[in-house]
Amino acid sequence: MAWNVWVIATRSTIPLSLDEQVIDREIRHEKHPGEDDVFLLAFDSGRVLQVDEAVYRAVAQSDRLQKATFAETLTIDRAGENEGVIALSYSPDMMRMAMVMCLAGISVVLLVLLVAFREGAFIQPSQQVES
Amino acid sequence: MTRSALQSAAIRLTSAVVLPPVIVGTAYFCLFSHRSDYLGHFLAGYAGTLGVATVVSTALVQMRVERFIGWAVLCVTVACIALGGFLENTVYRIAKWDEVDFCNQSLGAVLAGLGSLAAGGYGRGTLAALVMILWAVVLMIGGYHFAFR
Repeated sequence: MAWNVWVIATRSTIPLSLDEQVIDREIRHEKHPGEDDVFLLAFDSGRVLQVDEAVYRAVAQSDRLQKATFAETLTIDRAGENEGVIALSYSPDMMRMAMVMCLAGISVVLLVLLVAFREGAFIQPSQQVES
Repeated sequence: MTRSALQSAAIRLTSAVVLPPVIVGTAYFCLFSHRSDYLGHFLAGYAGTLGVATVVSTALVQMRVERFIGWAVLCVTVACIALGGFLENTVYRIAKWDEVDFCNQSLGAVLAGLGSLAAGGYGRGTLAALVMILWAVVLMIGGYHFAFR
């Protein structure tokens, strides 16, 4: 559940540290082009990141990106000149996913309690209800 | 089955295998209306695991080896998560391996495995097993609908 939120959070690049050059940008389409497109940045280190559309649109091929871990700004160095600093923000999907995962977490805890309090769970043969 | 036993079974099954997917699924539906595939993957993971876990649990009861049900459901859940990961990486790999889809279907599988255990003996009678399998089929149809609409 935490991984689900983390994956969406990393698409903003906020949790990541970057000091790499963009060598390729690519948009891949999913089932619904325009709605669930995948925005990819490939770096000179070999790493490929899926990023939010806003981050993708802000950078160009050959840009050097710099940021510290959890910094909410991204410094873009374009052709040796400082192109500027852009503000980063988490996508609304991250907060939405956090809410769903909280609900899912509560459900998991309640089910674990239900299993734990069930008499003889894992130890004694379960009671079979005649149907 | 007496009336009170039937009521107990209904309450246990509802709290174990009906409410969790309905509540979490409703949250997906309301908050991710623009990404219905998230709900689709969650429901598919839940339905597949619940169906297999119910069949395996019922078979173990028939074979009178109920003591293995806990471990069997654990194995079924892990196997369903692995199968979901395999399918996500092969048949359903469209743009790229999607970690969020995998997380959503795995969450469904975990909730279904726990639900199957929480239903306990109430989920292993013939009638209850049929109801749970029918419920799994309904959820699978819903999952397919939301994943591909």
